[in-house]
Amino acid sequence: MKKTTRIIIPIVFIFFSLLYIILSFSIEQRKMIGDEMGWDPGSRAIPIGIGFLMLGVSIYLFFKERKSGEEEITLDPASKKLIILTIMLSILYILFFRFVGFILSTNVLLFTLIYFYYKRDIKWNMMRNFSIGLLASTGTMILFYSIGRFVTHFLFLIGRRSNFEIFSGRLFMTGVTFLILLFIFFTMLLLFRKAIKNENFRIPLLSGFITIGVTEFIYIIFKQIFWVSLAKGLIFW
Amino acid sequence: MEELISGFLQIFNVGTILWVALGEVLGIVLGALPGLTATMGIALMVPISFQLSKATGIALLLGVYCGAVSGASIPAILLGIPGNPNAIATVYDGHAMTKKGLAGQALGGAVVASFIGGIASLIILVLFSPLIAKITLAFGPAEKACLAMVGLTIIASVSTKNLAKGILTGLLGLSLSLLGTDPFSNALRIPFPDLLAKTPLTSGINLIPALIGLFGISQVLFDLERIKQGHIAPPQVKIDRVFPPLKKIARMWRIIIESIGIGTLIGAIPGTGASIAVFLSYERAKNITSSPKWKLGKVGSGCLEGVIAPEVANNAVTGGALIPALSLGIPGDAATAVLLGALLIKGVVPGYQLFSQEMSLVYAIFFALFLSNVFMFTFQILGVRLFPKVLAVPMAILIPIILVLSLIGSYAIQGQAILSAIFDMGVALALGILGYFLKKGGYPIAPIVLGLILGGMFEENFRRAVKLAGGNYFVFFTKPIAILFIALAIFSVVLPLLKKRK
Repeated sequence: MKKTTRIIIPIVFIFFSLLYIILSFSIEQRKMIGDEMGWDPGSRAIPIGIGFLMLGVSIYLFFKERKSGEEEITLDPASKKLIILTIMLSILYILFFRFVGFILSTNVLLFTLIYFYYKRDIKWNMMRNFSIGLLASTGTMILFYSIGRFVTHFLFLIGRRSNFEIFSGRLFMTGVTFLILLFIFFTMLLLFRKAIKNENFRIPLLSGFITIGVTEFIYIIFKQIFWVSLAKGLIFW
Repeated sequence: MEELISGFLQIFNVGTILWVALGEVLGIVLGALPGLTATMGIALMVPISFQLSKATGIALLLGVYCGAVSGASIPAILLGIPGNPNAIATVYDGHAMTKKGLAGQALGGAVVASFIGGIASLIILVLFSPLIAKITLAFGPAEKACLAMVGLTIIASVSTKNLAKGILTGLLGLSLSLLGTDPFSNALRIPFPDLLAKTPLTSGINLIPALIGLFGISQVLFDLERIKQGHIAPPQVKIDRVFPPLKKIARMWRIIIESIGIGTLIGAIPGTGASIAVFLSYERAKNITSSPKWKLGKVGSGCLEGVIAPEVANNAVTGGALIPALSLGIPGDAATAVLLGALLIKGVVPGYQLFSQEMSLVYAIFFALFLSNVFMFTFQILGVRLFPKVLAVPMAILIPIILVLSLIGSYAIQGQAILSAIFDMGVALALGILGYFLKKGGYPIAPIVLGLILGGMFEENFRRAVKLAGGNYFVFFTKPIAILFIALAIFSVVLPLLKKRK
């Protein structure tokens, strides 16, 4: 048999179809409610049919791809490392999202990816700068989040305790918090502008600033405007 | 009349106008960035649209759609790289014009053409979709099941050169759509039901995380392979005169009319999409301009005619693709498949029911498409010197942002129930990884989405038809419309095979 990476996908599909058929047969065969005569094909008819069709097409493709003269599915090693890093980090992000929380986990994911994407490779000698950058970015992120929370709470309390109900309005609170954080963000950017031009600090600083800006922006949009319950995790306040 | 006014008011209010404007700018930016597609842009915006009212949410997505389709011409003209497949044919004459120092006219011409194409196809959409929707009144369960089958087979056959690959991914979509609970008997249809009976899997696979994974995350992984190239240097071109001479455009009336026809018609055929329409219209324009009687520049030599034809066609696709989506529930291309998914999630059922019971929403969609085209024209003309700078944004920044937006977008759909929301993130990532490997192997992604959308419609109507026919599986061959659909499905499968033999 000719060895080609192109047959991997049909093989995976063959296994998937077999598993699908087996599981379809194990579905409890129930008829439509009210179908006294038993004319409904039942709950497992379509899944079984589709499973067999999928198996047939996968087997056909397996033999076709074996003879195919099309180029192999390949990846260059540096891209491979970055793709594996992205997939692994995304899996960890999902697994720990609830326990670590949105702010911290997003900060780690974004900083790590931007840092290594800029470097376009992963090497051990990059780890020192990366770790320092990640710690600094995390610390600053927590500070930003805390300031944002403080401003929102402060406005909320003023709105509740005074006659200015507008202060506790969702859009007003979000707008003011956003503007204050934006001001602090750009002030920091100005302070660090010389350091950003320095080759040694450029990538960690840029990665950090982008991470903080994007994480806070997503938090404001989804949490403060749309009230999505983003997990707090370790940052409980 | 009341419904018309209601539809108008649903779109022409400050909030919706701002959301459409935001969607338009985002769409243009996404369209202008090579590798990022209109479909991906819409998929990323679905979670935000989910939080808005029906009309506003759809208007936002239409804004992204129109912006991304027209924005793709920016890198095609300035760099010779199409922002997405919609602008493949714009590259030839558009980039040649840039080399001649006519970048401004090429960009301006593309915007004017996009506007003409978009508005003309909107008019056709307004005229034809209610008529087609009325035809669906004659559809019973057998016809509906066969219609779903036609949608799937057509998209499987035209979305890839390899028919079997298209069919296989379509079947994969169908198989995934059946996971969860049987709609008629509530029987669990999940692997290891004893173990997983209390997990979110019992509700099946949510459409939005699936769309985000297949179009957003898979594209992220695909673009990672290009990260070594670094970011594209912003083009150093002088953009002076932006508006092309109107007299010249008027002389191109035949090219414009034919391109509108091609774009709308191709758009309306499920699964075809803009990449086919732009080549057809480009070829037609080539034929027309080869005759001296039209006194036009020869397409292929770096002239405005070669930009106008594909740009009219690709924007005409936007309205055309919405015709089957709104009237039959069968999307015209991958981008409208995502739009259709967003409609279904909002509880909007396309077909006659939509046109008879929610006409104000239909009008709102028409107004939203009009507003999107107006914004597309305005923003592109105003930003003609600004948008090219977007090309300088490094992929190293863009890719992680899109990944996080994809994950959080999937989470936000069920954001109040953390476990289900985390499960949705997992679905998006799993399908994203799957989509990436399938793309690498030359397998099309769009049929998976169609399978996911049409799977429920197919199964429910298939079973209902068989039950009503007293258990007769040949019921599909006893109804003329169903037979027509079966013939269409067979034709769509056989035609590519015959073409290959030739």
